[in-house]
Amino acid sequence: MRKLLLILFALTFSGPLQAEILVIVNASNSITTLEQKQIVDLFMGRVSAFPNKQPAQPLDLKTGTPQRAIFYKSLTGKSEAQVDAYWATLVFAGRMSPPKQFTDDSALIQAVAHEPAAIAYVSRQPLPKNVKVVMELAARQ
Amino acid sequence: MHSVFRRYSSLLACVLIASSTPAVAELEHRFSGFATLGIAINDNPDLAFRRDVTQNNGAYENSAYWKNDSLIGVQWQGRWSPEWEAAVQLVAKDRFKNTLENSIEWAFLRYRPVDGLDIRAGRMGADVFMLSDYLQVGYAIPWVRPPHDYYGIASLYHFDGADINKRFLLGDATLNLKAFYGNSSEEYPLGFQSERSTSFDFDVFGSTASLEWSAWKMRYTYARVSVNSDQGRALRNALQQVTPYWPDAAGVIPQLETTGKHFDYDQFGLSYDNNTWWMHSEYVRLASNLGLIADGEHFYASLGRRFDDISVYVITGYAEPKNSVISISPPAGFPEPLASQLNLLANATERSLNGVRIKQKSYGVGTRWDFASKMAIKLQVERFDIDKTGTNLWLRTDPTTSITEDQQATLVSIALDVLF
Repeated sequence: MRKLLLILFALTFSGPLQAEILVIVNASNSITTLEQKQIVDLFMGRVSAFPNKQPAQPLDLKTGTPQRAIFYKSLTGKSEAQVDAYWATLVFAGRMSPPKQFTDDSALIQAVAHEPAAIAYVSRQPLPKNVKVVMELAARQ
Repeated sequence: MHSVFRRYSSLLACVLIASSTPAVAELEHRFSGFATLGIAINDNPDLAFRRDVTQNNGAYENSAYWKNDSLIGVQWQGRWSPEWEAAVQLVAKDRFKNTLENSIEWAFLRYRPVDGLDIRAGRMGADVFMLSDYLQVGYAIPWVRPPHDYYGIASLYHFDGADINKRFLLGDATLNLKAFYGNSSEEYPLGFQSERSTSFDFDVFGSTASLEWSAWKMRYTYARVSVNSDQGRALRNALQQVTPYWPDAAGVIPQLETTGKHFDYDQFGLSYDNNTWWMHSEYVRLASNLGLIADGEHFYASLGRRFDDISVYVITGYAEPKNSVISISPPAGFPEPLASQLNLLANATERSLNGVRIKQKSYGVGTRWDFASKMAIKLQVERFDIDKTGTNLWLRTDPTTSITEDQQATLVSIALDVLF
């Protein structure tokens, strides 16, 4: 069932551009672009600041949301279970607190618009002016 | 010094929990938890299985026991700012001494003046081995439990003290350097289902270097554990009293001393994970200058492969003492009852000094199925070869008879791990 959802999701969001996932930050953030490795470091809890040393707060979708599995698979090659197991090693060691989780894209966009330190991922869509894209990621199964 | 640390930690836990009320502005709360429900079945009738040396009960003779691996942990993390964070973790499980104070696994304040530099104070994980920081989080490890030949000795779950960690980004690699110092104590049961125990109080300091690069992770830890408590005093006094008849006894007495003695860990870890294949291995050399802590080396290696939601793995390991079996013979030619008393004393001394030996090897296979979000079920079958002179990770089911032959045990373990 989960697989089917993933495929449906991928089909729905796959377009000719191959960049179905947008990584977004607050419009006031001085960062204009990020490399994939920098995004991996942020979302895998290796760093807690942007390359310009400003504090960063990754925001996540709720576990089990199809888009979350696609994002982590595309970014790191890891399944959602692997990502959760990896985060458990950081969280329960007390090294990092887990990223705050949101139910859907619109909640994420709203949160990023309000939080200068935020960074999040959403599916390709028109975005409001108070957030900006720092990387486009091609979805991978 | 150590009691100050201990008192401070309990106090810190109270303060942290109390301050987690909405009254404190700008404080973000995170609640999370983990749990394992596990069952182990062991076929050996003479040796009961235990997860580590802090437990006094387990499965034997084809019986199943669920308290070795089952536990539930809850954690609160509070964040005031990117610089200041606090965490309290409570773990409920079958402990030898189950008190609230013992259930507090972590309670610390973390200060991060700049990204990449963390300073912590309070009660925290003793980061001596690769899995030390999440030893009890079944979901975070591939096996039912941390490998027995290696982690069976790892009884130091946490300490009260401080640590400092600095991260260096070296191109594509990440290097972490850490130093820690603190105090800890642990109660070790003296036998199968026994209510008697011996309690050790330690000071621990050490440093860790770990390097992550691509799919690889390497680490080295040096740790020194100094013993504050005085164990084996009764035996030493008894030996002292018989030195007029038995002059050689004087030579044994220093081996039974603990206060001010120490043991050192040299730990190496190597792991690899390319998301399809993974490998974990660790080696530790435990060098001890006390007779009551076994000198030896421990090792495990495990290789696994993921097939979507299912992974399969093989695992092997060993524990090998570095000192030979100690034999203590009482002097001959004394009349009764002195001869019997000397004999009893020699036996007791020999048992104390050899009773800490660990000599075993194991191999096994297992599988993990991530059947739902944040839930995994595992099945693991292991075969242990335990030397008759090194059964100490296990519990003799009949304390009155000694083990005179090498032992085998087949252990079947099932566990359900969840995160919440």
